[in-house]
Amino acid sequence: MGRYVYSIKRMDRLKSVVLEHAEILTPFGNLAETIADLLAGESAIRAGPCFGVEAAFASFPDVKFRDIFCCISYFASRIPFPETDPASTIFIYCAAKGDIRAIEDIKFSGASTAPVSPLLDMQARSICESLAIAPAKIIAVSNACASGAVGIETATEYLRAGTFTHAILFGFDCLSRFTATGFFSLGALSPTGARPFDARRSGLTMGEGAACAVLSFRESFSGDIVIAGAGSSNDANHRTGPSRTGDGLIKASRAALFDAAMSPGSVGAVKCHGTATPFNDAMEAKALYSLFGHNCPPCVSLKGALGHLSGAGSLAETIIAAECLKRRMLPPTKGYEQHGVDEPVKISSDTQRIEKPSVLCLAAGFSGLNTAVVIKEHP
Amino acid sequence: MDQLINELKTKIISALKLTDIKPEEIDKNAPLIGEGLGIDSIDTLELLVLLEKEYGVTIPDINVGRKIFSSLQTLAEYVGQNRKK
Amino acid sequence: MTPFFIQAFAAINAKGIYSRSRGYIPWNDEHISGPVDIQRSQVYDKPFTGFGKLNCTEKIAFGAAALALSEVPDYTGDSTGICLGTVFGCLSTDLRYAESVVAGFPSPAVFAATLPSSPVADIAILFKLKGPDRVIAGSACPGFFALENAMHILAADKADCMVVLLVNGLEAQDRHFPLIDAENRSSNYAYAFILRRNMQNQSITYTLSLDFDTKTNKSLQNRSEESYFLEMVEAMMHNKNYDCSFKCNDTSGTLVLDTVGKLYTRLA
Repeated sequence: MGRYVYSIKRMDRLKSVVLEHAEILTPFGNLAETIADLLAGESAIRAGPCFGVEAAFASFPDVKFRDIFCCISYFASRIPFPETDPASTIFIYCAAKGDIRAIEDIKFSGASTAPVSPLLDMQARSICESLAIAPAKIIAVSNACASGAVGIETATEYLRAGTFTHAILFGFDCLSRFTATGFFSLGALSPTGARPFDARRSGLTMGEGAACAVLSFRESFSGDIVIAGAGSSNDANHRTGPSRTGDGLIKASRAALFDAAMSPGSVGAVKCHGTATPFNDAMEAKALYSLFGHNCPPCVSLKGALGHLSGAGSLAETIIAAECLKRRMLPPTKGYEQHGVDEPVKISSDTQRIEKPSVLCLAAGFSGLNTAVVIKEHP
Repeated sequence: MDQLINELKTKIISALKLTDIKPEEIDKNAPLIGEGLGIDSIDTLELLVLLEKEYGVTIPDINVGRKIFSSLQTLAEYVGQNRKK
Repeated sequence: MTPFFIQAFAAINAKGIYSRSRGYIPWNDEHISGPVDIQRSQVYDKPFTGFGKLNCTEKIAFGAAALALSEVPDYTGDSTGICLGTVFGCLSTDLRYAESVVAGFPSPAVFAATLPSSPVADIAILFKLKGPDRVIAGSACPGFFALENAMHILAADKADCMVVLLVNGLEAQDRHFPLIDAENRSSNYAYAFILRRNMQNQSITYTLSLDFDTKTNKSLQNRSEESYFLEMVEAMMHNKNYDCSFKCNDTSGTLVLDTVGKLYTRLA
């Protein structure tokens, strides 16, 4: 029989998956700019049209960032990549579609080639080359709009298995004619802008984003943000719509809390998926009520301010949640004015204090995918 | 009207790739959406695209839409009255 | 440490359809022409009106998963997930969607299938698989990575059964598309393995171990990932052991497959 290396032995129980460094690019700008604007109650959502689609959108402040290499240059100067032996680093690219200029340039512009391959792992390799890093393993995770969160979950598994000491996560999804027309054809876009959990919500607002995070597996110290747990599930219900009862999201949340050895009662806040479609928010409210009952912690959906950053979104939003956790402050849920779900979910149009040092971050995607990640601050 | 109904049957089967179903198996009075033909919400959106593309017909709102899609007969009547192609 | 078991497998590839229960059915029989053209009845016995809507990648992924799952009577949907290694998704779906945009009538049904993760939907819905799913996309060795991730998920007790898939849905008419490796232009295939942490019954199963080298093995030539999986499935069809040192796109390692349990009397 061969060697079996895949037992996740928590051999060193003192070690945790620590969020070392992170940077994002969103319609507000970088992480510091995004946090400042979110806490101030700003919105990056503007009226369309965008790519000929009549709906509200949230775009990068500078559209040059729709080129993945531009995002890479931006991050390269801002993130200290670990100077460890490359053999102990894994690179995980998280994208729903990633950089699709190959499809767009060739089909929409009649070009004969494009700057980057449509294959996600080729994009991942290009990213590593541009960053001048040579990790031992490069993989691409593509779980629709839950890609970022699944990337985090995947990283925690590799790190805990002892195979690697560091994981670099990179997420990218941008607005394009391809995706804008697609979501519009599905009737998913709000004409005027996302209003998460609001009575008048009418659909999601597409955004765009890039995110990069460095995780390490080590003993954690005071002030460290730790990825305490993660879990996933499938609704097994419909190709694009979530289960009406929220079962899948409940299951993923419970799995993540179990993985973090935490009970729902110790959750300080929830960073919702909150896309502001009629179905998602109704389902998510049911899931939250099932988890927390009448003791719902403060909840936020960032998508009323930021838009839906697709696959990269759940990575960017988790990074944002970590910053909010450090400040013990949840931003307002922009667009929320009148409670529009049946359950008493603690959404607010004001900032909310986070009383306990943990945030449950939720993400869901087409094909019934649900992923939850729990982050904690080491006391 | 029968000709339009038969035409619609063929176009719907083709657009929605209902490869297991033959035109003669579709009951013109049965509900279009749901169990019978396995037409789900995405297929319904696809039907709206089909109506616009083939007949120049648009459906103003979801309540009108629900009545129109209640059967192939009602759909054919609506198309017959509103077609621009 | 408990090893991992392969309880069932199936493959749909350029040569034909492989499964233990139905045996090896080569293409070029009268009604069977190739992976892209498989019929529902060849892979799944129950009604499934949506089968015709599936694109190539979804269809062969579903077919392989369905064949493999049909041999597993004891899986629990709630704790079974899917780990899908997919080369791209379905390029022809992306191209057809782009064409529908250019024609002025963007198609919602086609758009909904343009994600690499779309094959997960119908498999999860029809077999009620509510466990964790993971989609590894790309050309390097998505299948080996999918196996590895499934092992992580099982080892962490996040599921007790994983449907591991390796799929390449790049269709013949799209093989000239630029920026895609020559290797991936070969043919369509879908391989499915039912991976478990524990095995109770005595039907024939395999133990599987998979190790990746920390540094690329320079003494091996790169081969397509599929070539290893094809050898593995052909060995399994004959209840033989299989082990290899693999190298795909400079990722190398070893895979060891050993048979356990009693032989079925009905063999391929």
